[in-house]
Amino acid sequence: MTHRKAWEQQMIYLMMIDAEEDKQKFAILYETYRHLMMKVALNVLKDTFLAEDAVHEAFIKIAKNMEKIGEIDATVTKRYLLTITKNATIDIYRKRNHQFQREIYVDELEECNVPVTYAETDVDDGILDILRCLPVKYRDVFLLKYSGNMDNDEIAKVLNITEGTIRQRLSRGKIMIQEALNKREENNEIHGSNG
Amino acid sequence: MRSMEVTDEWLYQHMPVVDNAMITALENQVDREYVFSKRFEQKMQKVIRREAHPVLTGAQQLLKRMAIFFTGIVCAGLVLTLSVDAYRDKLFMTLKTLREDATQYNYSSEEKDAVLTPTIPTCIPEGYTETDRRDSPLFCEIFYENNAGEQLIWEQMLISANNALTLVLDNEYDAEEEHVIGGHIATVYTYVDGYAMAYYEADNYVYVITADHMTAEEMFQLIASMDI
Repeated sequence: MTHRKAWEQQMIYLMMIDAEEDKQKFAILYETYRHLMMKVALNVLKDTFLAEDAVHEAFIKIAKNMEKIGEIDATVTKRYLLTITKNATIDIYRKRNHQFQREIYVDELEECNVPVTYAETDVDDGILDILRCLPVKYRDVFLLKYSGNMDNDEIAKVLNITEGTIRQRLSRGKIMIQEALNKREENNEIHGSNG
Repeated sequence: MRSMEVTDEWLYQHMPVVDNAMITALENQVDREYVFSKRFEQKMQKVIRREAHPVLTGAQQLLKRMAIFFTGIVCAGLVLTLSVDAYRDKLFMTLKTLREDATQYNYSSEEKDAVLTPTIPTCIPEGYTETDRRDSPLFCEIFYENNAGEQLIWEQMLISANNALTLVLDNEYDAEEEHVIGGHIATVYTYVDGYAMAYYEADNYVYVITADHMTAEEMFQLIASMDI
């Protein structure tokens, strides 16, 4: 066997291993997250038939981007899957409802006052609530950047908006958070001095 | 006095906590008892099978692209072809866009007052019974099933000036057959596992029929039995 042939055979073998790993990973993702993805799609579309179409479209997109999937149970992975599902859902919603706006936002929790339980941190829950209750268009960018560890270029591609818009949302979002934190602190001081 | 500064470091520390809590809350609301439809499971099995053979899929795509090249169709990026088909007695225009793994159909019509009148097939293959029906002023879908649990879905969609419909059909099929029925071209796509899909345009309507297990001949008979 020539070196070239051996090299080609080795390459094909490696590609097959990758395929097998990706296949297994994809099957696990499917089994683990299809109900979660269905929940997100159904919240918006209110129709199981359309919601299943959205989940199917999302999985096709995921299959094409398996290299972006790391640990199956990681929050980063979940956030990526939810974002892809939200996009697929919005596409179907747009088509079915003749929506031509450039952006439609989907809050996966439907509303900010849904109770959540935070892991223990050095800040209290009220501060974390400020982050969670950011307007969805800002929060989505913040989640992908600071929890999903994506850079602005990747976020722009996933959300189908420009990098300039991402930078603007990060900048404005930080101002909004800072203002909310300052206000909260002022309120605490007033309550403290009254007490 | 400002004691807490919103910095990237601070956000990298706290945003994952928020994200985790949000996802957990969402996971708690998930209906894990939900049974996905057979239609969905089958479509997903296809995705999983395709995911298992990226090398083969790549080769298939290459062959497709070569075929497209030889038929003289212009390729550009993801959008490989763009053609406008006009058929006799069809009251709308179709813009057909061949993508890497699917064909997208966009329609335009100047008919403003079109109303959907179902043209339900009368020749349903033996053993199939209607299990569900959904209709609206813009579409009509009928679901049939046989004793083996195999599904047949017939869908009629109205194309009008008020309905900017976009359809995306799979193009990973194994064989394609065409027949002229009622002066219009009916196309049936079949897969080696028996799955079949038919596409037909007539009057103000687009028809898509999918079946878990059906021959091209049965699909053509089904189309011919529609009262167009």
